[in-house]
Amino acid sequence: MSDEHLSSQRKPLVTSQRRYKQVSDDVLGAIEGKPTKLWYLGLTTAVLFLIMGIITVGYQIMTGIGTWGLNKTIGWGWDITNFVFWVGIGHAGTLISAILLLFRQKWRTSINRAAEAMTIFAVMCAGIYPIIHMGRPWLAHWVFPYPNVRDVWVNFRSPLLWDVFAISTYFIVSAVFWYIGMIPDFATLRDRAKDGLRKQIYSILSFGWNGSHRTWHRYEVLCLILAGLAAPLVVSVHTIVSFDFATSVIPGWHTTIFPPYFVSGAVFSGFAMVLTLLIITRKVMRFENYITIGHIEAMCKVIILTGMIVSLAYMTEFFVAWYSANEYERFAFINRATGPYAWAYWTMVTCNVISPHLLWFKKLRTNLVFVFILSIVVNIGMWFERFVIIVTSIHRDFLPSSWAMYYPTKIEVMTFMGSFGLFFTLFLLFVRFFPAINVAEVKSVMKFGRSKHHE
Amino acid sequence: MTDGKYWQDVEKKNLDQEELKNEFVDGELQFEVGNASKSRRDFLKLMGFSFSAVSMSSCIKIPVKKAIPYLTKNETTVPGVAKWYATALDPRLGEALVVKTREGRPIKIEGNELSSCTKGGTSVYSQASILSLYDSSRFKEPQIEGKNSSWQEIDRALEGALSEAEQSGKEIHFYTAPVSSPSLLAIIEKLKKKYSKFEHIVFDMSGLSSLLKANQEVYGCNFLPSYSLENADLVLSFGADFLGTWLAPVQFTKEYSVRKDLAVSNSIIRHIQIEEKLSLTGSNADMRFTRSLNEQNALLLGVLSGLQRKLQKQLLPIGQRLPEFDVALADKLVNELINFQGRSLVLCGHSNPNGQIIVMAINEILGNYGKTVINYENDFYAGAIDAKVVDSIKAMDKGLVAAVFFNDVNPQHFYPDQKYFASSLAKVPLRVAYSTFPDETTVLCNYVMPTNYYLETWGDFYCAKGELQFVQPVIQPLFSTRMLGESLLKLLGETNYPEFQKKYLGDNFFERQSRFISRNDFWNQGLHDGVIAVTPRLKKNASFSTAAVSLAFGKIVKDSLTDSSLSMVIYQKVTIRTGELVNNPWLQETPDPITKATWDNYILINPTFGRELGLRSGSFIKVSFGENHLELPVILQPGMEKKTIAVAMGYGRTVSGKVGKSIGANIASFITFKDGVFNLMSEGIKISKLDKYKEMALTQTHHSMEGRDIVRESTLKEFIKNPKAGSKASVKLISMWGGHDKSGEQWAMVIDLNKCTGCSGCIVSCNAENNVPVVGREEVLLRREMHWIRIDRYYKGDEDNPEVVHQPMMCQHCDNAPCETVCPVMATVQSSDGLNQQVYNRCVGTRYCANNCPYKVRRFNWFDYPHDDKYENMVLNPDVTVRSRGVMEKCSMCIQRIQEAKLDAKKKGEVAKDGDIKLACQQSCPADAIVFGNLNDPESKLVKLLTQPRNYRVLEEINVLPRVSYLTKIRNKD
Repeated sequence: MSDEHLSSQRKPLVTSQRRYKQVSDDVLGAIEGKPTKLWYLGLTTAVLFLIMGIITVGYQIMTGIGTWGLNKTIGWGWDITNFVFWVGIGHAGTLISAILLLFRQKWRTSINRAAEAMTIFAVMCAGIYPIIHMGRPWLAHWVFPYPNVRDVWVNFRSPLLWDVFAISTYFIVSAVFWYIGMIPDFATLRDRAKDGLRKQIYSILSFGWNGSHRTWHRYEVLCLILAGLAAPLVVSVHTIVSFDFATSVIPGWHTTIFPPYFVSGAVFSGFAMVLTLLIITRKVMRFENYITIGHIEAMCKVIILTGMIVSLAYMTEFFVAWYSANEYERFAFINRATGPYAWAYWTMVTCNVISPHLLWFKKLRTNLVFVFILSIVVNIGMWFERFVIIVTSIHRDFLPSSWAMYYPTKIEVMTFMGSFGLFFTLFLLFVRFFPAINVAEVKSVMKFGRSKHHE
Repeated sequence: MTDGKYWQDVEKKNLDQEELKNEFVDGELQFEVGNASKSRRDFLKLMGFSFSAVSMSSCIKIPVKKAIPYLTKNETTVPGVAKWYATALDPRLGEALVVKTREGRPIKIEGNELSSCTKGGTSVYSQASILSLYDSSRFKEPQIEGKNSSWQEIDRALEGALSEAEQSGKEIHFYTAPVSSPSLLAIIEKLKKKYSKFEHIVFDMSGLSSLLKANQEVYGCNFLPSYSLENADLVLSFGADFLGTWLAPVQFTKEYSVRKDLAVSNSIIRHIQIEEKLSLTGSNADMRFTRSLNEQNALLLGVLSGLQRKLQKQLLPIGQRLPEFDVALADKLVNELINFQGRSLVLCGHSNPNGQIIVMAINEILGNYGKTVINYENDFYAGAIDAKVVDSIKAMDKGLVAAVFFNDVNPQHFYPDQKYFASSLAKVPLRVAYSTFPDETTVLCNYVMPTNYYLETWGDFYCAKGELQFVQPVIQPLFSTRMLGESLLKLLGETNYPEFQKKYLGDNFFERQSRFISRNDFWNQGLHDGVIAVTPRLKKNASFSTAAVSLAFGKIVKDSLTDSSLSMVIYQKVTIRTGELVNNPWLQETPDPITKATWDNYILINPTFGRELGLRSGSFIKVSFGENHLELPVILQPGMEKKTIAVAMGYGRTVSGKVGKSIGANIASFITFKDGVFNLMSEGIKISKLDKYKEMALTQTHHSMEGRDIVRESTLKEFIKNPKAGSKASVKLISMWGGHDKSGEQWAMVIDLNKCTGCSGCIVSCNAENNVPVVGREEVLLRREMHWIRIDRYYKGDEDNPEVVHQPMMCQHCDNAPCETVCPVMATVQSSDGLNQQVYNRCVGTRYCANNCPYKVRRFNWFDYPHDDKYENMVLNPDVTVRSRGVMEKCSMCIQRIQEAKLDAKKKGEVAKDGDIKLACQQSCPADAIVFGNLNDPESKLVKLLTQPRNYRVLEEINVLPRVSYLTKIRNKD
């Protein structure tokens, strides 16, 4: 990138005075060498979970949605909870790469690649749920508006259809953005490769990158354009997911606050997931010099901010329920906090409202073990947020005669675990075969080679 | 020009050949596929072929299904067109029915609107009875000693065995349920003549023998009186569940609902119920009081003596001390009754005759006889005389009986001392079962002569009110069975039961009517209409015996002295009744109107009392009565008397089909023989808590309306002052959209909550009409029952004596339907006539519509519900799709009926008139609470009800504009 001056007052974004070659060796060497035992162990576990998930989903598709704990009152349970959960996680990557790029936050360079990968994998996990939650998933293509002889068309008034477009657009743009960003690094890998196959594969992946000024120029322009495209998507995708609920008539769902509430919640959970993954990656791949404490702190601050936005949303919901004087609305929220699912509500409050405030303390914020645990706590909280919104709203809505309870079955739990299997399988394959840190961009924010100039 | 090529027109004829060749070749679009240069067309061809090849090869082989055409086509059968036949079910239920058949298969039961008794109403029981026709557990062949046999063989063997029995000089006992078939009674009379010691024994555990016994005591004659609710302004019921199970509930519900129709008149009937358990009838009462049976008896004496004092008449002996009773309540009742002399009706549902006698005395003193209680002469009814049953079994035990016949009765299940019955029966050499279903008694018989199900049989019933009902077969017997009349005639050496019946009915009833001048017309029209009105005969020479009253009084006083710390009453469920159709899954899955429990037998217990014992709904208790024990789960039931527990009969079957077997426990050993009748109450029982729990399969688990504006309710006083009483201020609804086009036929429905009794007949009617699957107990526990219509039941007020409301709830067919906007694939859409339609083929099953439905009336097919029983499948309505797994379904407002009526009208060049279309729920409703019609027809009954001030829509404020609206419930209470 540009060779603008970095103040000596600022902490360097890459520590230990690494040289450019060292950076390439650190990041790309991990791909070229043999993977560690820990990686094999991780991949085996993840694949086992994935296989379990595939078998469970297969069984469910063969037998019917009845294998889940849903009923005539509660039509969505863990399926849509998990869908929103994964979509939410898939928010941080594009936010980091697109919005932070537009805001010229240099620190993002060493984390954006992994975060984007996480986004894409999370959206893949999320995408499974709307398909398998259908009663007849083999007809899932009917949600696309394709011309057909039966003369039937999709319903453009349905938020579920908006979802189809929002998620698929988001996925495509994110994936393209991610891939474009990797091209210079693929080229480096190609250039470093000795044997034939590796060279061939990375040659294809690098799209004929030759490192000329023109390629760099096009790369930068394209990244900027994609960032511009992706930035509104970050906001739109979860806004539209929130419409699934906001446009309904069900008290607890029918709320205008949902779009910003869901987006901030998604950023909140996405950053938590980035933290979880990067703290591990940093340790396992020895990226301490690139993913520094400064990065962790920066992400913690985002978590505090979004956590507070989410807390404000919780309070607003309660205030509006009271202020609306609508007995159903009021009951929905009283029931959330005191009904049979109160434990879920208070778990959510503890994890999302209270726990982020511990990050105000620098000591805690810089303690990696603590941050790691907290990032998981936040994600548990955010999972419960979706569960609370979905299940506690519909389990007791208008007519008390239909009030019911929902308990997930083994199949639902195993499907959720299977989606984690898919996520980690993909992520582990990613860190093994793709450069997990954007080598080219990291080099551009290093002090090395510039600091001497001004000494 | 090449030879053999045809030219198209003059210009083309002379075109240069090169030019022609290039006409369709677009050089720019040519591209390479593989090595060979291919044109775009080739590519498309290739692609088209490979795509179709791939899709062809991936097709599943469709199994070959054979449709067999008629070999010789029946002239009257048109495929796809339903035929209707009139028939009737069970004398006691006294339901005149019409049966819909399609291609020879009976598929639906409806009420016969020509009947003066049931007037087109049906019960949940008769609605479900169609399914039992196809019950594969039925007897399929005659059996000798448990081995399948043929009719010839069994007839020959039976003849021999019977003549042997006759020669032995011992008795022959013939057990039946109560008989009200004139022709059958005639055959029994003939049998009595043929066999020297032939005894007809009527076995009935429905508790009506007390009523017969009471009449025997008071009038010296064993008969059932007729009651007329139509002429009553006040009905006071002591434990008689007359809207649910007692005597003739369909007929009573019809009459009751007419007297509750506020659209007709403001002077509606007042209903006071005093009972020990919350019955369906009690739940509909304007005023209800919870009292134990003994308290009720004492109260009866109090009321009678109060009336005596006020009316200066004497029936009770004066000066005797009355047992302690609730004086305030008795005074209140006396004051009520005094105001309605000759216009009131007092009923008693006790299985003990003493209370019945006092009630008769009260009706007598009020002058209700001849007005609301009418004693008709009825030669064609044989009711149960329980003493004869006891004597018969004693005779069997002594070896005095040579042969015993059972016709669809199950004493082995119901007789209190089962061991004694079994050992006595074993002493009878010849035991014959004329039964449709296998049961505990038939397995003890050495001859099983399977009888036809009522839909396969000829028969007749006589209603004392003056109605002859005809039973005719609507299908050939499915199995190798024979109708009872035919089998009995065989014993007499005769054949052709229908011919016999025709002659007998002609002889006995032709003279009693004036509509037909020939006997043939009488018979033919009788079969066509199903009913023929005949002149009823009043009972003559029946004088009221005050001595019987004194006697009953003495017995009640004596009873009041015995210890009655805790007692158990045995009741009939509205669905299962005495359990003949316990193997019917529709009945099992229909929630009990009060408890909302399905598939289970349980003990009802007062909530306060239950909690004192540390019980919750589902906890097991052990009930001990002498040496007999019973272990069942409890349900804490509001409205139960504190020292009374209640349990339903008909369960605990050991021999039945797979549905009916091993549910619940048999209560027979808790029945006692007292005052000459089987007493369905055991006093002085002991209960203890067991360390066992079973979740009850309830379809509704929250019982309070939470103060929400769902069922609107008010009192008659308020209503007269303000016709909109009970309504909250209506909301101002705004919309940015003009709404659907509302021209032409626009369907809507009104449900009168003041008439609906919650009997649940509509649920089963809908199941049958719309092929609603049965899901089973486990799935009901998961709250996945598929019923398209449900009846919400809410309690209010005191837990020991709650006020109850029933509200039928089905798809409300909203104009602004929230389900429609959220479906991504448009599988649910508004029709041009205002219905919300579910398109099964298009549904992918996101369930969003169900979530977004404020009424929660959408049902999802969680699995492929089994349709693999080849007999049961015959009940499916061919006009309605059987839904596959993964699609949503819900009330369609019987769209197939609407379409049929519209088409019929169109063929005649008309439009469907008001009343031409009757939905399944509406048709079967014995209370006529459901009215369906066209919004745009100002003359329709619907529009008249829509403009009633009582009309309201549930959840109006969310502006979904439902097409179904309700009429406020008005209680006629103080």
